[in-house]
Amino acid sequence: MSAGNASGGIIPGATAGARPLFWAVTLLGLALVYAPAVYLLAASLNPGRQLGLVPPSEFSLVWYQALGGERRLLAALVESLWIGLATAVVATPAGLAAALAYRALQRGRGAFFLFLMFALFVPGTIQGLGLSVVFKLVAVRPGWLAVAASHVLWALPFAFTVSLMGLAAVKPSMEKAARDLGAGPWRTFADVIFPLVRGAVVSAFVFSFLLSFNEYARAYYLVGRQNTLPLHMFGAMNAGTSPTIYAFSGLVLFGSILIVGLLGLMMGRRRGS
Amino acid sequence: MTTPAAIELDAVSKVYGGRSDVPVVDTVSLTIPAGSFVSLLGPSGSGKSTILQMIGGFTAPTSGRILFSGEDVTGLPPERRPCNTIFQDLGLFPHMTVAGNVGYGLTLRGEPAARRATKVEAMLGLVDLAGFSGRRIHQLSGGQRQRVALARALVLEPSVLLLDEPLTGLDERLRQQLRDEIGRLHRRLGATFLAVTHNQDEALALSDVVAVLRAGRIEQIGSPRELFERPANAFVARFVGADATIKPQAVEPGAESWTAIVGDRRIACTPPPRRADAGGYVVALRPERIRAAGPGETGDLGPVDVVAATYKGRDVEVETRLGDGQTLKFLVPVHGGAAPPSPGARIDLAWTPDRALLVAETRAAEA
Repeated sequence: MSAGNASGGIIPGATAGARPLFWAVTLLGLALVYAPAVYLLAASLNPGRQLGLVPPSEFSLVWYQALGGERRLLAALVESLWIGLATAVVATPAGLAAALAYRALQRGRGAFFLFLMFALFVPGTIQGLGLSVVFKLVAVRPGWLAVAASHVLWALPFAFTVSLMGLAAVKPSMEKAARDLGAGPWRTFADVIFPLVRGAVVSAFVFSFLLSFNEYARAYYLVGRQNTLPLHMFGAMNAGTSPTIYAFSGLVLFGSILIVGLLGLMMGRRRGS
Repeated sequence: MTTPAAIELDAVSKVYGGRSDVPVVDTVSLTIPAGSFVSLLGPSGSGKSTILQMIGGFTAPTSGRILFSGEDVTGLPPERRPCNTIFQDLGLFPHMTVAGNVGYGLTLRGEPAARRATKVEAMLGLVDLAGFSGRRIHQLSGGQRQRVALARALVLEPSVLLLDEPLTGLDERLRQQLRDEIGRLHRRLGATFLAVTHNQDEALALSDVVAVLRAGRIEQIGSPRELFERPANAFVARFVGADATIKPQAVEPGAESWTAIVGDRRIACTPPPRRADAGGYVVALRPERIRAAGPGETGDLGPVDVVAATYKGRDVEVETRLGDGQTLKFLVPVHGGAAPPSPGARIDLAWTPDRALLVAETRAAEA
């Protein structure tokens, strides 16, 4: 960025006098978003049983070491990872396929779009309750499959919109050109469409996974014997908390930062090449 | 015609929506001889692009047949037709290099890598892009991109090349340069070129044959000279540049020459190629062939009042009003010697020895 650009910045017309205000608002926003997570992280280093902060000299990893013994917590984590993965594996290609179909439609586009997005506006508790009744009717037992199915419904509108935004990079003439040069529909998808929407597909996958990983309301109605992670954590909070839960939150936070960082690195490298 | 037709359209129609809707292309039949350069010329909405899309296989005709060298291809998808297309926005692949784009069709044909590379290099040389093979599309200028699109299509040695508004969106200098280049490639490769354009200069300069379209129908088809000198009706006349038109009060038929009566003047005109229906006739003139009559000269029309004179770079456009209120515009070259008449002047107009064209007026639907 050149020096001549600096006064323009993000907000055109923002004068030098307005810049401190701009930064103050930005920092306040960031603090509101991140303060709770950072507080929890610091609290997890407190070796005492009471939630609270201690001076850095007293920091301890004792609750992190105790995590290994939390069998039920770890089982819930594994369950949620699998369900999240299953959700992403199904919702991502389904969302991309729906986005391709939406583009190919000549009429009824609006109805198709609303139909796909409607799942977003059904409250989770209602959808979970409805699904649990319907699943009982068709003899689908409560368990990971039922939860994953409900999560696909939940994640599909997101995967669809993310894919649709990605497809904006593919001009109709590019598809036509591929066909014109001798590629059939599948080859056109593999050689032209997919490489151009790869980033969006990765985003849709991560998004779907995270939506499932966090989901509570639907899972509440549909789990079998094994709880998912959010359900376990809520349960643990109500039953009087062992501070291991804070240590666990800290780990999840680090894991998330790691994954997002890696993705960012990957994307940056692709753009650079 | 002894050469076999490269493309034949047999009563092709296209209707979007219900069958009762107005057709975009209305029973068009057209024969394009092998090796020729044919242009479809018309305003937007005339159906010219839809015809190209149907020939390329991207849109199915509602009725009629499309034949390539006598073979019916109406039901074939684009990848199985022996033609290639230059799309209006090119459709280059941004995730591939120039060589990747140009070589893509060859890859699909299973051409071995070494042969492919040789052909791609040769083709890039032909379109003046030698040494650009490693570039990305976003690193190229508009004209260079246009050439990549040409190379990508021509490297497959198609028997027919379809060009959809190939020069739209380029600046004037590049337009001329690329226009010449397309002409050169056509002569050199001997393939059939079919171009769609709304620009009459482009069509007239490049083509052996031009088909003028309006509202989904062919109004006239002929060589550029035929269109220029014998436009079939007022629409074609205006589209190929005889857009200074006057409505006469009456016409008198004759053998060699018809007479149009405007005010108290009798204007000798070429006989109309088609008889007029309810619309009547118009006298069509080329604005650059009209001049103000000199002192002592009896003009062909007049007197007229000069209303405005607008500087247009190469010419000054002079707007005049006839006695009956009709307006007529003509061009005076800036560097032609004679000064353009000033607003307020009353002058006579002359165009002899050029002859005015008498053509049937065309009704409505003119975009």
